Amino acid sequence: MKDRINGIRKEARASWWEDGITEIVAGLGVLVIGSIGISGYALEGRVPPWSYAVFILLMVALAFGIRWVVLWAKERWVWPHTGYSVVKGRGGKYLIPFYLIVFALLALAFLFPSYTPIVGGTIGAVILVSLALYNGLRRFYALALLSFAFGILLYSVGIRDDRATFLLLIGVGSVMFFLGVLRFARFKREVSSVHEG
Amino acid sequence: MRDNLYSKLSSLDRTINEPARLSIMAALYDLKEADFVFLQRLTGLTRGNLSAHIYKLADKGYIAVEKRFVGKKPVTVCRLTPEGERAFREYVRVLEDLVKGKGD
Repeated sequence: MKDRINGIRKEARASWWEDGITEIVAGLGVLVIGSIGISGYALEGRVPPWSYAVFILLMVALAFGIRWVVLWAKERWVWPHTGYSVVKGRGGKYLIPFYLIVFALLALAFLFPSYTPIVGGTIGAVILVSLALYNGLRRFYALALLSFAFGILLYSVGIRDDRATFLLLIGVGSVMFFLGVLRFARFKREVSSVHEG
Repeated sequence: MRDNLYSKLSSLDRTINEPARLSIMAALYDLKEADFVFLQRLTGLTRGNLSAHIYKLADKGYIAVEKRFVGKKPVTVCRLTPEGERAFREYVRVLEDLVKGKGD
């Protein structure tokens, strides 16, 4: 009985990610932030100081806008087929340890700037592993591993400044977007095959 | 101690202690809300069956049912009430105690 309860709970939580839309939108958002960041780095000294404020505002808008875009996309392409559902926000007893780990890692990045790529990759991995633990989907573990591997790679090739963070965002964002598109294509096939039957 | 567990088991909430209703409660426990079509797909119940069980759970005050529009589509949205959440947690706790052989 307990297995059945856990199975249904797991399936209900995973349902939010089964279409890949969250990865497409979040991946694209991360990719855009990374691309703008790296462009700003390349143009350093040639961009006005207010552009940094615009960059931060854009990051905040993207962070809040991602959920809105995901809901908008689901309303059009997913809910007509699968039915409407909204997953509960993550939280509870794991939220405080999660923030503590992320803040500790950020503090490490400030104390030892040369380890920025490794710390960045680890923060990405912590976020993705916590998501994977919540929804039980293996592809999030793979993304977490990739984030960590990207961090190590950037560090080992000697990219250890701000560029590393932006390149990391571009790398992880691209893979996340690509995986999301693949998942969404599969989801569309599954949905249409159900309807044809 | 064992007697205590058996008496606990016999006092399990009968509204939840039915596979279909337990499925609905388990699904809604991790969701903020879900509509009829989603619950039907997840639990594999027929429309009539699901409707009857939702009615029973709503009647007991464990779930709240609301009709509303999502985009341009009318949907029947179900959500676990705080009372329903408490009842579900208690139900799972009793089952866990039984598996672990714990009594009061």
